[in-house]
Amino acid sequence: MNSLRPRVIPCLQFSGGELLKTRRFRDPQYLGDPINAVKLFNDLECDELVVVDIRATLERREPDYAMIEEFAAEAFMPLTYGGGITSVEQIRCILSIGIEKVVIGAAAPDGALIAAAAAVFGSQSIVVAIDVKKTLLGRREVCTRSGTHTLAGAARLRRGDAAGRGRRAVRAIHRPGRCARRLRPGVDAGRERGGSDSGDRLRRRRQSGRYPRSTALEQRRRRGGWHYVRAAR
Amino acid sequence: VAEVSILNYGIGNAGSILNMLRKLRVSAEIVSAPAPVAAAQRLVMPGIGAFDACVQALTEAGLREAVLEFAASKRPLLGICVGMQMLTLGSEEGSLPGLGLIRAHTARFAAREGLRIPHMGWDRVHWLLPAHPLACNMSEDSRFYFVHSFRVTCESPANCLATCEYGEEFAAAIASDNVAGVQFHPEKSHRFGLQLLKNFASA
Repeated sequence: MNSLRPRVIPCLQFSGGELLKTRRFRDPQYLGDPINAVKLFNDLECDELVVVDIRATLERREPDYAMIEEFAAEAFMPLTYGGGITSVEQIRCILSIGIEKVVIGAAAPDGALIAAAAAVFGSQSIVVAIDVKKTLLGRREVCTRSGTHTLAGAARLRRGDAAGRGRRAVRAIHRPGRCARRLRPGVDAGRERGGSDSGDRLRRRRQSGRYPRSTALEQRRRRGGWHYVRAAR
Repeated sequence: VAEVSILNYGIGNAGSILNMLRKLRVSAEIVSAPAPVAAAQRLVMPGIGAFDACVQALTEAGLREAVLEFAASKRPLLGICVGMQMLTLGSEEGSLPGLGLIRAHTARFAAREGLRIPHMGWDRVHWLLPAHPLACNMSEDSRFYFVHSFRVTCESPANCLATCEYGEEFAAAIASDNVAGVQFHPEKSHRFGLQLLKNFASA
């Protein structure tokens, strides 16, 4: 066999000891105890598991190592942790606890961290998170910090590539009714291209008449500030 | 002295192996010096990353001789992932010699169209020596979690305990007397890994 069977990888979000369910990265709903959830998924023998501290970066917190240790004690499968990671030392500490992979999100645009981490720990243990949000124009943008900041998506993707990251997790924030839907890299190429094709799409829409020639939003885009404005929800 | 000692030479994931042994209610400890290795009942040698980095770290920690002496004493030794590759004579990945406890070689997967390297994910293994203590109660559908770019081939088929196929057939587990190695990660392979470590702890 040349290929492995597909892996199903649930992703759990937590913050401050609470397992949370969000919709479009908003309206967190308390679901229960995250350690218990990890234990349940372990009993169900899922292929892998991702746990993400969704407020660590926003609150400028260190990863909660005590909590991560409890997750690791319950998971007899490859476990991935994300949230608040900014340095190689933190990654070393997390991996030594018994975590298999780490997710880098907000710190990913600084390609140096990805490159350094991949060199030390191997690219198979570094996952770059790319959160994609659809804007009012139907454009797709890459966001960080739980969707509160946007980036020029294409540049970010390319930076991740050059740094030799192992895997990337693409999540769509705008999907109605769900906070995050993991997309298989390569399957939804348009989404992965991030902002790179958005100019073309705008032009196409205008030509087809489906988009008004000039609006306040487009003027804003022409001024070049569009990529960096705080995401309009 | 604990039933199982896990070798810590600075590289590798001793923590998750310890977690799984705790789950099995097997007394386990992490050892990082030659003296406790000499006193150990059973020894697990993990390994992650580059072959030379692991061999060098083992040597610098003064544990290379300790492991060789432990193996010569006929007590059970289990190498995991690069820990298994270190049991072989050497690896294409590096220039340092392995421990040479099992006559086998480590080489990169042959490049093949559509073959993603590393071999990462869950795969079934085929147990060739069902009578071996480690293969005890292993069903044919047992699956394990693999992450590796290099694979082991034995000089003698008698040392090949289990095989797996990824583009080509390779040794998923090797054994020679009291020394054994597994390419997959039992500590991350649910009940299949639990069974394997249970087998090792009662070997």
